[in-house]
Amino acid sequence: MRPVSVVGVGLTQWGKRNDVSLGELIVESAEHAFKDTKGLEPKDIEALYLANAQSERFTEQAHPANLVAEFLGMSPKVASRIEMACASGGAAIRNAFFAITSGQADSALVIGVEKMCNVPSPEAMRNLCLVEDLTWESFHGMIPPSGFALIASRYMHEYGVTQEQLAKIAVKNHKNGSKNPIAQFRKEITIETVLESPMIAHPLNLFDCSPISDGSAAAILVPAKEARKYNDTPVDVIGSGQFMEPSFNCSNMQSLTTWRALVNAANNAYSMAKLKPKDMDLAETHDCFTIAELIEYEDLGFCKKGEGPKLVDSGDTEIGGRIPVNPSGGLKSKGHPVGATGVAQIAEVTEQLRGEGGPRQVDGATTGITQNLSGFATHHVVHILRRQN
Amino acid sequence: MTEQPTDLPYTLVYPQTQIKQFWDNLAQNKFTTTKCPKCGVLWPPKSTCPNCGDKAAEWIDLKGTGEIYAKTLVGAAPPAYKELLPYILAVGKLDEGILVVARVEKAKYEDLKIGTPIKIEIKKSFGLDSYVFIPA
Repeated sequence: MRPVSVVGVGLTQWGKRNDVSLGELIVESAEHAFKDTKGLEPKDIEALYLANAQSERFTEQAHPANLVAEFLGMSPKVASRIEMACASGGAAIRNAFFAITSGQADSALVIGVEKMCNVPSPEAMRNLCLVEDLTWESFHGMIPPSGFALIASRYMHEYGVTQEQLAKIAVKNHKNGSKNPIAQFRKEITIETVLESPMIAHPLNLFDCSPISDGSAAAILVPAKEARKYNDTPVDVIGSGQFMEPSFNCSNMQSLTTWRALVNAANNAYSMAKLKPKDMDLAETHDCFTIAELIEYEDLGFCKKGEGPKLVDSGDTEIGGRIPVNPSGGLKSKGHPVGATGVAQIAEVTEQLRGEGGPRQVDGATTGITQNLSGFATHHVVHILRRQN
Repeated sequence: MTEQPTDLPYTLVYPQTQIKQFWDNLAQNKFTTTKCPKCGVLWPPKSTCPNCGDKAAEWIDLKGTGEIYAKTLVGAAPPAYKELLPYILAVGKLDEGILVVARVEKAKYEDLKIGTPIKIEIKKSFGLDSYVFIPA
């Protein structure tokens, strides 16, 4: 295995992007990523991974990876679209990591994209429902928020957490997102905003939920030895882990409140990096719902099981705290264009480790972790990044 | 092949030939699943055990009783579910140890706790043979 570095990242403006087509949105993030390198061009790229969950449903365009090749004028020798629902981005980064570390490619471009606001929001919700088990869950009225609401009810029973404590996670992420120029929502909110917003699935209100978004993110990976040719501050991918539970719906999960797939993916990434949770300076995690970020604190090892609510109250997950989580604003405030999310997490941690976080910079950060999930939290991808010495 | 209701967030419930028995039993008012000789009761029913790959799973009757394991009151959902709103959705832990997802009917959300006894009631949903939980 040869070491791998990130030498370029790029993001588009996230939110409602009726001004561009799917292809144009893809090009926008890719162009930013190439500009972020010293002179790499699309024609130099040997491997292309496009993370996208549902371009067929949202934009009636299938086969989007080939679209990239035409829009960017590239002809990669390895090319794939990666579909893992909300974890498509993380899975695509992991594939690019494999392509480079194995020596099969000397450069890889990962683009994550989703254009969800093309359809009315009830239709977008319907599309997202397709991720649940059709026969045994969706048919009965399971939708993504209700799945995480069930998890929340179980967490409340087993360990105890209040709606106020969950709301604090949304408040923190909106505060961080207010400092992120690409974020969909750049407005700070209060605990009352969350508690007084419409109930979506008890105990989760509208402001406990991430939005429907358009957006794209890109990252360029090369062998670590070559990295300084393309960027003055390369960021190495030193840990990569992925795990899927032998369970599609919630019936076969060992626990709704300890996500076995996350614990295993995180353990794999930590052991590859030869680091521990306490070595992380920041984290970008998958806060599709506030309860998700809470459980992620515990399963990523930032605190003991059941102590997530205490960690929230301590303020230690704020920028400036012991382990800042989602300095980008997270899915909650930055937005959640499904296929782009996991790639954007890599982009945020890369910028933070270079010291380019601007008003949301985590001071002195050298090592960071990303976590991207899909389905009923039954599939997780974790990456650990460190600034190259 | 059963006619599908329109506008639901899925397009295919039937056929599922390997577990056709489940739907046949349900139509006869029997709530059943499969049991692997090595791993025990499976849910959802499967002809092949997902744990050990054994294909000798047998059909068994479920008592249809259990308790609330997790619960929520759904207040917003895509148009297909509009007529049901608001509805209670639960994970029920049945006496046989399996976790089953279904709506809870004939109950007030405020009265339901984790551990509240429930039972399966077989009834049609969206015109198809289905089941819900009701308080036991």
